[in-house]
Amino acid sequence: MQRLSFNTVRILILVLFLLGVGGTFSAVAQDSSTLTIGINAEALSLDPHHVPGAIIGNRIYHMIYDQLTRTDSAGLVQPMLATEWTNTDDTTWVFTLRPDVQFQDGTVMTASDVAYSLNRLLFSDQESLIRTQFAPYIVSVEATGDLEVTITTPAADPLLPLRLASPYAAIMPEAYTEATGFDAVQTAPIGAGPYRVVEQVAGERLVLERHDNYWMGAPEFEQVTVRVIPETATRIAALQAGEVDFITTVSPDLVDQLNDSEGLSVEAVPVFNFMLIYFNTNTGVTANPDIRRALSLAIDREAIAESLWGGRVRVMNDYLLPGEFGYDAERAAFAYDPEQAMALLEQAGYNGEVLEFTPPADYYTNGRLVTEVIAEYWRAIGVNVEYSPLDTSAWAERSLGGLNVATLQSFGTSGDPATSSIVQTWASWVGQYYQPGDEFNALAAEASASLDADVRLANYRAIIDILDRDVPIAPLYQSVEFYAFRDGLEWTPHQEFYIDLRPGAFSAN
Amino acid sequence: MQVLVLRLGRTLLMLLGVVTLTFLLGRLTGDPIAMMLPTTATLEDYDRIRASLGLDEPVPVQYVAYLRNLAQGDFGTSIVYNRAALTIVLERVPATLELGIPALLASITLGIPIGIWCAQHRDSLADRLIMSFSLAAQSLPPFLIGILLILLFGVRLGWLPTFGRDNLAHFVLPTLVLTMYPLAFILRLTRASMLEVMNESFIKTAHAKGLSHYRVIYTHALRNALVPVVTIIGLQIAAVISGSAIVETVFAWPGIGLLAVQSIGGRDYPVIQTIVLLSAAAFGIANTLADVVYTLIDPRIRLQR
Amino acid sequence: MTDFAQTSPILTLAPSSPRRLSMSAVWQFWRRRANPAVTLSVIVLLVLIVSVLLADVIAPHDPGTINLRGRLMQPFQDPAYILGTDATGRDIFSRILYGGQVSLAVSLFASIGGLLLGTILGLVSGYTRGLVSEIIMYLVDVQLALPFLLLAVSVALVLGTSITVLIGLAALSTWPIYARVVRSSVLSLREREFVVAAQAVGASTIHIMRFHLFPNLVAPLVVLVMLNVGRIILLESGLSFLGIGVQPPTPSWGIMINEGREYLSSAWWLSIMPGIILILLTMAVGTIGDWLRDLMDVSLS
Repeated sequence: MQRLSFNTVRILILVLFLLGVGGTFSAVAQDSSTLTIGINAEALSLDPHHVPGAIIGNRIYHMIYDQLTRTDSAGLVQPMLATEWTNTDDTTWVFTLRPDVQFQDGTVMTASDVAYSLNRLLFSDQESLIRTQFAPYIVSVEATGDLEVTITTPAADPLLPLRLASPYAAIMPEAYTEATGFDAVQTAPIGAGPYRVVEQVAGERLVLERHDNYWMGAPEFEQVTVRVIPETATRIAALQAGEVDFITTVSPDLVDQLNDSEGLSVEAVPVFNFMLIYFNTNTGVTANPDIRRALSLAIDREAIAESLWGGRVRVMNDYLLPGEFGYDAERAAFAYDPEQAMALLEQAGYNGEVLEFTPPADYYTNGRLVTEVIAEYWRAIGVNVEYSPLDTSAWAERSLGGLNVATLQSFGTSGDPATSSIVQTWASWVGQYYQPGDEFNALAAEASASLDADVRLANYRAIIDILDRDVPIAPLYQSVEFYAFRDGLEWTPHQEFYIDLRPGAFSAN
Repeated sequence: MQVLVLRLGRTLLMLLGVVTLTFLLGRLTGDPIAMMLPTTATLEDYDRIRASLGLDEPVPVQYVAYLRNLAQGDFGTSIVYNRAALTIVLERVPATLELGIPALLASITLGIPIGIWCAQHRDSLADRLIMSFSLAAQSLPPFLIGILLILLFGVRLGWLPTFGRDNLAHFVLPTLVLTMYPLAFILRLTRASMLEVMNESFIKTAHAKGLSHYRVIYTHALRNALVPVVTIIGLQIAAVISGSAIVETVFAWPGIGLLAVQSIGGRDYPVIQTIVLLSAAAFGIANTLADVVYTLIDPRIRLQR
Repeated sequence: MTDFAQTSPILTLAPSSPRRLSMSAVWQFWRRRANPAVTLSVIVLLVLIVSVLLADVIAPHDPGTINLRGRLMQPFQDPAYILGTDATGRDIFSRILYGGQVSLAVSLFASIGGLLLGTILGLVSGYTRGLVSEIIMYLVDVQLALPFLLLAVSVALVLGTSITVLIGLAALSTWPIYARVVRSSVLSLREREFVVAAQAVGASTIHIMRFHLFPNLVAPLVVLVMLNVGRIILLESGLSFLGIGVQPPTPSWGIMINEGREYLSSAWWLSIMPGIILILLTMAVGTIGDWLRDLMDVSLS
């Protein structure tokens, strides 16, 4: 009895001691020479040439790698590791490289490194999911001088420089990468970007060190640590407790709360990507274009933007995004007109048939709430909705199998309709849901091979008229990514969903 | 000794069952490629990549190939990480052990004495409070408790870190959450078991023979009461692994629980199978050990089934 | 955690001494050893069950009606929404009532399912021994060795997450424990005089199981079931936390708790309100279960 209570006291003391230790350790010094980022999911592999198309690695690759070209915040192509490029004929491109660019291992970049890297992306023995974004557009890459690379395309392609701005087209040093071997490169790569990988602890952290000889000049922070914190509540708590300086993927409903807390602010960054509902135009209720139009008209996009996003997303008015070639700022936003929607339903002879609505439950920010509300809007015009949110993988598989009737999806672009999903995606598996037809395809083919801006503009607007007529998709709003960070950080966000650590983009005081 | 060999044989058989079950569930659950496919990829790309991973083979063929590789110590390559599944899992094992072992030890070293104490002071106010508290501890989802603790100790009070695995202070909250369940459980079990044993005739005889109260409690009663407790501790291993899936996710603790959750999300079969296999093996070994401890506590029990 | 199989108090009830449970015994015991906690628990349990059953009558709102203008209202902020509203403006009080129907139904049917499966297999395994018995115990071993949550997630991914699947999973999670308890009880019971006597006069195996073995198992099983109710609801919330268990608008307590977790620091009532109800339920049922177990101890002495 007495012995037991003595034990209890000892345990109490131990607990108090641990709490005390905790108190001392958890006070984090806010050192302006280091930056700690809390991210929601881990980059699967640090090798951008061999990753799945997941957007998540994108955030990391820009910290480690540079490419031949880049897009600026207005979406225009700018030089990066290449200083200039010219077409010697319709299908041949000559890129002149920036001299004296050092990789993080100190070696100087040559044309053969560039050719090696792009060939690794396009043709290596290892299977790669990302390759499908490049392989159709490039025939060969060769070093044709010390600082000159020649790229051949299968057809005239004005967008090649834009394609090479992708973080997946990262340039790596040939000697290091070959000597290190495929497996080791997955966790310990070398690039020409602003930060060098020091250590990757799987599932936990990625430690980066400043690349002092970076060609754009030394970046702001000596050290950057990327911590993986999957649970949103924890990620926010970590920021509030001062254990991280910067977090990604804040839920829209928490933005106000964080903005109100002292020492923190939230940045809402519109990304080059928009949310939409796509319909199966071949089978089911949605095979009828009037019904698709009715479903689109039934959604009050403004109300969704206002209440579920705190007014922080822009409702779509076009199939293209501001900053994208051909975007029409004058076009009115997609309309909300439940009465016309009901009239269309009647006209289409809709008679209570079930509409299966199968969005991904947790994949997109706020996706669950938005789709619940959309299902209600559809019910309100008298549609018999069967709403079944799916887990991500089940949804992906269903989508790929051509089984969706209506679902939530995002479409991306990198600044030009020719690279954007709205034009391109129908040739991929998404084409199971809508076949745009010969007219559409001819317009798209002509536009993507044309160097004449007027022709391209006219063609893209004609394509949009076809989409308006067929309603294969109902655009909702442009996606926004919410970042929260402590006061004292200055940051210029980039539309392409990544955290730019290059000089000038980020600073601390 | 022969019995021990027999037990090991049973464990191996059990592992084969586990492997088969996870293999089948894995193949039925879905397709890892579908999720990774960019919206620009065509159906031909999809078929080609599936084929390159051997996923287009009939399931029995895949199963045989899997067993053959397993026998050679090859657990497969992670579809998501491009690396050997076993390496990835083993990298994460220490983190889970760091949480799991203290949680198990704490629940044993606290649960058994408190359980005994409660049994001796049955129906006292303290007993009632402890019993109610142990019920409450088992009735809230661990993620909720975890987040509330983070908000209280990490954000509001600022005493403890909110996430991660950097130093001693980081252990406190996740271990606490992971301990609550097995602790409440072992405590309740010990109490019930003690009460039951104290009603048995041999204890009454011992009391009647005039042995001291403590001697009766700590030698006769406890020894018998601990038999079921030891059994259940073996079973707690699997419970701790399941629990760590949630606790590790909440606290961003890079162990196999978190890895399991992410791998299930990404349908990374080789990794899931490796995790399940390793934890089932740990379970098998722990239970064999529990049986051995059993015979030490009570020599009358023979290793048998 | 959500692993009831491993965390069920199996051997608490190792039936060295079988007892029969009858209504009159419970009543007698109630008169001798009623205590306020048990009385309170019975009341709480009855109130919960009745109000959930009468959700159609009591609930002030439809649990699925979305109201974008009344999102995230605090409890008591608007008297029409006494427990507040959730992220799409649905009434939390009404959702708890309707959600209770799902949660209690899952608990009830899963308990019955697990109990039936476990008892039958346990009886067979304990009474017959031999190969069948070995196979049954092998299945128990395999299932106990699997981290159940991971197994449940995989199954849910294959079969979807309808209520039927949830019930099946929860039943699956408890049967090995019932099977073990029943088996070990039967192993000791079958050596008792009354069974040996019944065998001697030529009673059939089924008859012996039904009339001689089963009645002696009721008491420990009732207690086990009582202790598992809350855990079954937790299973659902655990699955939902892991991204599985997504349900169409019909709420359930476990899912409500999970959906509110991101709001804990801002709109705490989303999780905490159903959480309180869940604690009430678990503690009431657990307290009654403890009391029933005491009853059996006392009836022995």
